[in-house]
Amino acid sequence: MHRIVPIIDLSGHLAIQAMAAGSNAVSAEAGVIGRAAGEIATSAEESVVLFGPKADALSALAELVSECSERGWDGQNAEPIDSMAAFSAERFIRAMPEDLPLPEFAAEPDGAISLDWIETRNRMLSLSISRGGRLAYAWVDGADHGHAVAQFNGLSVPSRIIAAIRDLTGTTNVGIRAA
Amino acid sequence: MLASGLPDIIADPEELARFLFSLSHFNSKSVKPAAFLPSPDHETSVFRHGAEPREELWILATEHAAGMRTVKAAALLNAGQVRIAGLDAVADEPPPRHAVLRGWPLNDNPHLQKAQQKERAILLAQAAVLLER
Repeated sequence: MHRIVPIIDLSGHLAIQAMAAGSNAVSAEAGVIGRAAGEIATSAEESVVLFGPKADALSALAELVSECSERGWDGQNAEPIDSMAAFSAERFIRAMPEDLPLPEFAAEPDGAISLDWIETRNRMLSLSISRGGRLAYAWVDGADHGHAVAQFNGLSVPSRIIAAIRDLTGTTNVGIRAA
Repeated sequence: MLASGLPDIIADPEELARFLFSLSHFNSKSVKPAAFLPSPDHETSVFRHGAEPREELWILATEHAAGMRTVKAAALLNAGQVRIAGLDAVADEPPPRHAVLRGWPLNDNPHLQKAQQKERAILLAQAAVLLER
């Protein structure tokens, strides 16, 4: 059986290591996890060259994954954070343009990870990253609010989401538009 | 009338507390939307109690909500604000004073469903007042 374990490495960066217990896992799922493990290992190696705010963000992400690694972390029956969601969140942070403000993280009851940009109680953007590349997000800006879904390919942040973050944080006048 | 002595129907002005067990669910400024997202059974657990008396609020959290976990904070809002967000607050005892937020959007497309639910959650977060323990 394979399992993917998020840890914090010595430099405080996120590292998600694939752990293999036993050598006879031959299911399709094991193959998928094995491939993911390889990608994650590569990603962890790349984390060595990350410094500054993004490294801090990945450290915070790793802490969250650790905090919410067991079922019921919310005092009820929440799912543990999905290791592939953590991997996707890491890829998202790495893919963010350098001039964009980085999000805060929160755990969601279904095992997804929430990336939140909170200016005030009345100005928030919240984006869910789960297994797979679809991003569900919602925003409130005073009396205006809405939701949308975008596709994340693991390499570049969708332009609509970049525009939404810039708009919320006041770095541009581009409006948030629904899908 | 329920065993707790509260009425069956939760009136709009009645205060509700959502107990927060994860530090990731709030910051110094506000409650985060994830704090309100429904559990896998499509409900969000709350208790029918306001900020005061403060000591009773935390006793309620410890005795009936926390289990083995430590309550870090509470998000407070009233039932009317829940209904403005398109959800409902419904009594659900036992335990005493327990209620649930129901009416979360369901959709054949799980991603769209999640986005719709996040929009409701963000409206609750906008309305909520944070009370740290």
